[in-house]
Amino acid sequence: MTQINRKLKVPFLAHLFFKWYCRNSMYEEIHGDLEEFFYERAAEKGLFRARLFYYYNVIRCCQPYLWGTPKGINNSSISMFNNYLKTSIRSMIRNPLTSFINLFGLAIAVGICMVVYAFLQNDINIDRHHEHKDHVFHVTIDVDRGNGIEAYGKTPLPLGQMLVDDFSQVKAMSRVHDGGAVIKYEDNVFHERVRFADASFLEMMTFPLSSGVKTSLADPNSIILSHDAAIKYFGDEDPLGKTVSVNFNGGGRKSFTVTGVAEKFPVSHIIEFSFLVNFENLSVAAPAIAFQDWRQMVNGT
Amino acid sequence: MQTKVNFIRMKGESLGEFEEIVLLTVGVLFDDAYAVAITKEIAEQSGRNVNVSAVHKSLYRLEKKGMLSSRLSDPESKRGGKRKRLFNITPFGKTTLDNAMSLRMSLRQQIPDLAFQWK
Repeated sequence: MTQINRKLKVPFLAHLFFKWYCRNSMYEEIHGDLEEFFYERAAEKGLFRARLFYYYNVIRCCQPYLWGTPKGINNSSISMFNNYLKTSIRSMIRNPLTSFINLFGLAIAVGICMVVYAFLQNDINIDRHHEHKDHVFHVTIDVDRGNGIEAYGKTPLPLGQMLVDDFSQVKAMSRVHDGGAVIKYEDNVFHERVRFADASFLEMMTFPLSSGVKTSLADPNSIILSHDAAIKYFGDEDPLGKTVSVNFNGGGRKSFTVTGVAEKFPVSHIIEFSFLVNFENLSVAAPAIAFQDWRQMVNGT
Repeated sequence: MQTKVNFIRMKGESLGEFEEIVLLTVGVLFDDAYAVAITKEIAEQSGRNVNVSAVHKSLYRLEKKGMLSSRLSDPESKRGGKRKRLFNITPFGKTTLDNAMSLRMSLRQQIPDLAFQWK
């Protein structure tokens, strides 16, 4: 007779599962058998093998002859359901090709429907999170370059300032431009896309900042990072107040202090940024000429 | 001896191969036949490592067919204080076993020697 360690306990969850499916009248004798095996195995081959064997047995014993009849379920509906199941499976086995074609076609149709629905849901909800979305407009120009009138997203640089000066209904304006730069913080040196924007950019768009204030963009020496960029460069550290040196692709270089980190962007968005610096820095990045094509983002009314 | 024995088939008397082994083992472990012991005995004698659940299933089927009778024993500390179910062969079980055995023996004896000579 093997020694029984009184502190040994049968695995709890599996025991619960067994108690649930097993009929009350047979529970004692069947589980007694499982326990006997468990204690013996634990003594001979160790606790791990004993538990493994217990799980295996619980699954093997989960058969109809042990199942109790749960209260409240009418027995005839179970029998009818079983009968329907059997006849349908038999007919499927008799006509394998037909049933496969039917089933496969149905599955594909449902799958396509789900994909289309998910895509449309994403598409309709792009950028809905901005609060002022009804009042913010992207200015475009129609250009005739000999091929007929085409619409362009880029607009001349001075246009923004002129709109604010000439029209009183225009409340705020932000110019946005993108450029490439090499960004360096300690050991992390990467090529990045930097976005130049006016200070009102953050007022018009809703980009909640996890740290920092929106007005900091007015300072030409500050830079705002996106959530992913902060993780990429700083890891777990808090980026606020650290200095990052930027080497613009046009040739200028400048050091910026980090004054804000944006939260993670919602999944369906198009307008985004990795790095945000004040628009004035464009003069640092490249020599600015009075009339040229720069991209311009939005006016707010 | 080549006698053909006539059997009167009673309903519900057919015995599966594994059930027959379980029934025989119950007889071998007279008055100490419960699922765990039967499993171990089968593994020892025939080398078949069956799962306890298969043995349980056969035991309850045999009991339903009327070839085994069962009773609950005293609680045992080895099983965590649970009682175990001990099985005994009924007279009907005995006749089934005897019939099965004699059927096999009679069929075996009727095989001509020629069947076992392979060139």
